[in-house]
Amino acid sequence: MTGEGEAALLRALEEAAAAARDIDELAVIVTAFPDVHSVEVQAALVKTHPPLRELIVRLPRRTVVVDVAVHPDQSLTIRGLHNGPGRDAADDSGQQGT
Amino acid sequence: MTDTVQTPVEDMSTIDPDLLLQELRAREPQDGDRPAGPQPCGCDATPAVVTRRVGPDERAGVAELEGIATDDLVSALRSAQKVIYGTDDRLDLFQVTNPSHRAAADGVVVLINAGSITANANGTSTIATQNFGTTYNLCTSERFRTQPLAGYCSGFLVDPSLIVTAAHCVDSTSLADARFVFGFQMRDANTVDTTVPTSEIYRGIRIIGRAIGNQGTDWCVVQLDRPVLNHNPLRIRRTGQIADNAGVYVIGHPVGLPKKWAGGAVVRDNSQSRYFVANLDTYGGNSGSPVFNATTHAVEGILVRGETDFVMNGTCVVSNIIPTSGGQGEDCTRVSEFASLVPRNEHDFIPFNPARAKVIQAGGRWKIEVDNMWLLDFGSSQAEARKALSIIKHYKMNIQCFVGRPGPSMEFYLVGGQAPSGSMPGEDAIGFNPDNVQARYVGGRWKVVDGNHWIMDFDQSEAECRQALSYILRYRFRYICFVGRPGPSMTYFRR
Repeated sequence: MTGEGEAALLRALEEAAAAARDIDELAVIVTAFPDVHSVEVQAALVKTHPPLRELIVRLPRRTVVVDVAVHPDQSLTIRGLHNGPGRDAADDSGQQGT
Repeated sequence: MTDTVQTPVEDMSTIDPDLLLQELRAREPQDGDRPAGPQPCGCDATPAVVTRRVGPDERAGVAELEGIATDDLVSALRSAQKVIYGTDDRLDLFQVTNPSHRAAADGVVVLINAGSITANANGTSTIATQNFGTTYNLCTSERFRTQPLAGYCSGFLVDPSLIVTAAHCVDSTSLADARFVFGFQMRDANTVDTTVPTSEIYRGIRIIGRAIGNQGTDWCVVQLDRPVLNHNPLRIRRTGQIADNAGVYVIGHPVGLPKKWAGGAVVRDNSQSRYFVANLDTYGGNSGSPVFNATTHAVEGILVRGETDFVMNGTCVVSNIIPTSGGQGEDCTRVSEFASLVPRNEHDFIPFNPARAKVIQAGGRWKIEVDNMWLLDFGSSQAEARKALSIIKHYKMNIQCFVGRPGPSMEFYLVGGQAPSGSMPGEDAIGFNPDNVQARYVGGRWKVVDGNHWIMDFDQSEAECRQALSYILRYRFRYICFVGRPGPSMTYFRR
């Protein structure tokens, strides 16, 4: 995915997160995005504050993990994207081992 | 006649859920009094009936429920309120009495956004906070509800200049906004340190390593802007892995609260190579917390993910506490994932009295000797031996230090535990910027480099390279100095 394509996906995700009432509804909305093959909500909570729920979004050539912050009032915001299953992101920052 | 045996849950179905919760809260253990690890019976660490203990800020239990097993209380409460409850092991640091646990807590930090910290004129900084109870609309039964929230993650010191946290907490973009803060904790039941010395707040200047993947990998090693000299780095496991069912405890900042200890947990699933699963009492904000072996007190893992924290209970929110053996557990990335990036800090330091150092000739070789101990060997060069002696006496060097003996890859000297400072006429010194030095694998060799030029070469020894870098950062060395280049007979560093 190009940087432009990723930015467009992030914008769409942010709009969807603002509209969704909960993580399951967000998953349904994202499933309807063009080129999205499937969306899976990870059961485990990523333990930042606020905590994150992860959406595994399968695209034609790539699977990404969308980090969704769940705020105390249950509102959702997108924290970011990183590589997902199918391509182990051994070094998301490109700085490992330096 | 047929007897009908009612289950405890049925027996307690008419009891007010708040009373059930009150009794469970009264059973929550004090520091270290819950046995960790499997019990002789083969059951988990929660005894069928525990002795009631009432903390200083806790309500008393319910006399009518004293004889009922904890698991039955949990089941009854679950039945009554549709959520799962158990006992909450978290303690504020001032309640922790175990010296090993307190020592471990010393190396734990909270990650706070820079925008939430205001520097004061008197050398302190004030942390902006929110009220826990108000922010989460907590029910009155929730512990710590009057305390402040500040951070978004936890982390821990593994070397004077290195902090470890979860990869989810920091990346190369967000690092500039992260502050690593020591000392955000409750001083007593009613007093919290939201104003801390500014010296206790650190910035990250570089990500040494970071990995986040689909097999439980989730870690980040950050180099700080300056060495931490008043808190002890935590010891991490170097080889092997934690035992099945081993007892563990965690120290961190759940929900961004002041520092908390939580024990009474065990390794429930040890089958994955990159992480293990434990039944620790953790919340959002605990990401990056060190998970300790309850026996050795070495760090075994980094808390990264787990169960949902809170659930609605009528009109307010309560903790979603799971029975000891229930739920999916909390995932902890194994420290073996990043251990190679952390210096061992097994110091090889030799103290000596510089006033008794002298040049001698023995076996046809010129040497510097102190109290019948050879410090340095100069072969046939008397001039280099005399030059080296003058340097030792000039700086009053009294500790000789090595990395990688025999055949050390780094040699340096300290003066009363500090770097030599000042300068000396005719000194062969090469300057470098300690804020810019890194350990790098360049051209098939590990080197300490300053930008594009290398300072030291460690061949294939990453461990020695990282240890040398640790010393450079710790002592803020700015010059590498030589006697007798090329092929120097003495190398030393100074500020």
